[in-house]
Amino acid sequence: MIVPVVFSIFLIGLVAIHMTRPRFNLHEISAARFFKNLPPPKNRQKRLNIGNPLKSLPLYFQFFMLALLLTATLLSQQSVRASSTARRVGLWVLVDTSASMSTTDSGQIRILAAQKAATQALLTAQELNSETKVPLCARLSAFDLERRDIIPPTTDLSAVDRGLAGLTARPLGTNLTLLQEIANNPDKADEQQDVSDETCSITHLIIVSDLPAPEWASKQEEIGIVWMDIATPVGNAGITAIHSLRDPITAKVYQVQVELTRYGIIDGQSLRITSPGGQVVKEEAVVWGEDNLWQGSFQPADSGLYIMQVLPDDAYRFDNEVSIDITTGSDLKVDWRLADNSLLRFLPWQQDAQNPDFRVVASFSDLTGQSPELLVGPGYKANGGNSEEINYFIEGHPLLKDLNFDVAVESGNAGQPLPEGFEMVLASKQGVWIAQRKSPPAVYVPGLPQGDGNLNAFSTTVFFNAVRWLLQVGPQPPLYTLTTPQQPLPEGNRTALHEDEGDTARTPASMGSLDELRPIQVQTDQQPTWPFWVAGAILVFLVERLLFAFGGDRWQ
Amino acid sequence: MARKFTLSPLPGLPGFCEQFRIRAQEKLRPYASGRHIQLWRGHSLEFRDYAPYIRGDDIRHVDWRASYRSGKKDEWLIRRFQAEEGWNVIVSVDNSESMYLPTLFPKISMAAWAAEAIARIALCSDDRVYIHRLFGMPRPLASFQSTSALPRVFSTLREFVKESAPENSKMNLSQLRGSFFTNAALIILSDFYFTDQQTYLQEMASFIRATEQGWRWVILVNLNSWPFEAWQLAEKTAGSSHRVFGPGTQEVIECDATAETLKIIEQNIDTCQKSFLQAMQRENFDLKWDWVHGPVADPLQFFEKCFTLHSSHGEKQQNPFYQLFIRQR
Repeated sequence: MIVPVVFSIFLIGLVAIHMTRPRFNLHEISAARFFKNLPPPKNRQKRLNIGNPLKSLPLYFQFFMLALLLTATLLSQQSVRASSTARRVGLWVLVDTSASMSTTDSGQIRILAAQKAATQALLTAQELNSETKVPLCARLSAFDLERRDIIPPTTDLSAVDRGLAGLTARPLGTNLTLLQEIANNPDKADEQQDVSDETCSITHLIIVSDLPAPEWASKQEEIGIVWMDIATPVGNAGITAIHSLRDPITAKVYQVQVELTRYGIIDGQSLRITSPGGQVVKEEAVVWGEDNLWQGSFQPADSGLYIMQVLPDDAYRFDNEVSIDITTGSDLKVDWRLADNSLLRFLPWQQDAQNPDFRVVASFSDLTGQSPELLVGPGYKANGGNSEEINYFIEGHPLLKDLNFDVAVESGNAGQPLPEGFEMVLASKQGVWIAQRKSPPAVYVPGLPQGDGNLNAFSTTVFFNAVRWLLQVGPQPPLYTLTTPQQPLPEGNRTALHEDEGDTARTPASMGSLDELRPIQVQTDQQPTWPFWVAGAILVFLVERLLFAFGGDRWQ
Repeated sequence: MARKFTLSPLPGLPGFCEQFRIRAQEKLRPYASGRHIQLWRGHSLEFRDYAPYIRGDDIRHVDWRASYRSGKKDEWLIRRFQAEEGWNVIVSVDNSESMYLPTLFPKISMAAWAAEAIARIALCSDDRVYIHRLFGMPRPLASFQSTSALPRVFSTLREFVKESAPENSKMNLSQLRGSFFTNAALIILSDFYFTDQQTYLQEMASFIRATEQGWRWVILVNLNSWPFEAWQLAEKTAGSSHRVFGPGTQEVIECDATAETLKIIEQNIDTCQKSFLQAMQRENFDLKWDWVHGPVADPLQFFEKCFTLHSSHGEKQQNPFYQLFIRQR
């Protein structure tokens, strides 16, 4: 407080000195040379005169001062600098809690090994810094598909130990980009979260995982990283992929293919598939190929939840059992009334006039309205091959899906008159190519799949689009889903089949050493820079006033 | 530091210059008591007109009959001849730094206008005019003859005065020496702020003395702006001190603006100019144009007053221009 007061008094005194200086009027005279050797002027009395100007000739001083003050105003709180630095040790312990941490190797679960390793790291850091008496702080987070802050920054390391003891593996995958974001800017990692009042500038990351250290960790220069890979390679076999084969028309599953992968040295597995009714529909011994892969399949007879198991259980179990939800269906039943039934022989459809899924007829008079009906026209070359421009179409209609309209133009089909009760879907000026009736559902198509090349593709697509539309076939639900941080528990067909979690035979690769957990110089406080700009302006003002007072004529 | 100046043309004074005409005036020889006109033998003389007899004219040229016919008893008429040799008028403009002040109406502007007016009159009389810069880098004399050269006169003057000569520049006398004819008038327009420290002072004095030895005429016109500058100093409020700077000073000089101080300055100027005149072996300047003790409201009016004999004090002066230029009737 004394310094600003003294400085203020000094500044006021300086201003007062200026006010007492005699005022001069400056003249440029042609006869100036005759003013030499005059007696000294009598009118040089010093007296206080508020009217004495404070400005000095060099205006750039004032401009510079104003520029500094303006900069200070604009920057305000935004520009900061480290006001002080100190030696610190700030440890951020990040423990992997993904599904693979539930693997049992060397007689213990990996998550327990991780807890021990992290605890040891903290002890080592304490020992290393016990003599230096540098403040040591730590915080604890767990990561899998998300980061969870378990213990906020604290100097109480026993709290961190307690947090470690409470960690468990979750049936989730691993997202290493979370760690990379933290490594790039550890101080900004908590923007969205509350932190404790204890400030803890992070100097080191201690990452405990069963994954090898990635390449980016070794290139990190902003912060020290100690990557502890606590995994011991252990053999594991499990389900890594499931594919379904679906009816192209009904999208119903008629076959399921399962892929198993083996990691490390393990053998003697079998695959057991249990139906929704609890019956074992298949049990097959797994014969591993040279690429450590095996594929099996089965045809589901019923709809429902099928359980696929890899037996016996091994070190990692989340890939040993998967439940899939299958919706099956029998072959389509169709009441085929066309004379040409060649297509029927190729398709797995059954002729059933009593309870058809849909009817196929050739004339409008054959429509009954009792079931979905497909009205097939006379063919695509009915008008002798003259092309017709498209005059109307409903954009995005399912009946027009994947159609090449150019083929329609060149097909030579002039179109038929719109059947009564139908709406145009695709038409030329001459007539309709495709039409629909919503209730009862019916579709008109120009003809059966026919011709070669583009016409064949076009006509086939039209036909099957029509069949799907009649049967109201939509997107089918997936066979299974994956666990998420919001729903981390496997249930029903929600499974923990996350990619690469089953690879338990990797060669461990740690990085860094616990000896690196030593104090680092960090900034402990930040201050805005605007006071420095103001101080600069004051300094300029001071220099300018001193020059004005004592610098001689050229400064006045 | 060289001062810059942009000359504006002499404002049109209708018939101003045409009222004058150069009259060949014989130069009084230092040892002669009267004026004589030299006849150049071998030249055919063609009668041109009559002019009133002025003491010093050749009595042989008095036309008694014409004088009798004029009816004026005491006025004789002399005959003037076409073969009289034309006058060479050399106008030398002082372009030293002090001439570019005061800023409101600098002396260089007056000098340039005077040079332009003299040139107009001379050219209208079919005489040759030379424009000369007194200081600075030597340049050939700019020569003009006939009225068609009038535009070039202004452009030459503008070029000559656009920048002042550096301090301590030498006088350009060498061009003048080479250009002096038997029938020439040298008019020097200056403020004559030549102090004793300036070495060329003696050089100029000896040159002018030599010039006047022959049939040549040197007219010194003193442009005196001190009354105006003294008024500027005294005009400020009382109790203030003044700082003065200008040509010939290295730093600012503090002074009062009292009457006593201004008197001292005037005496200093007078002393300096007297020492110059003494070196010229003269008593006074041929013509002295004093700025008014106050602001110059109308520069053109001020110039016209000075050039046409009306002094700032309303007194008639012995104006050598009257001798050089005869107002036509």
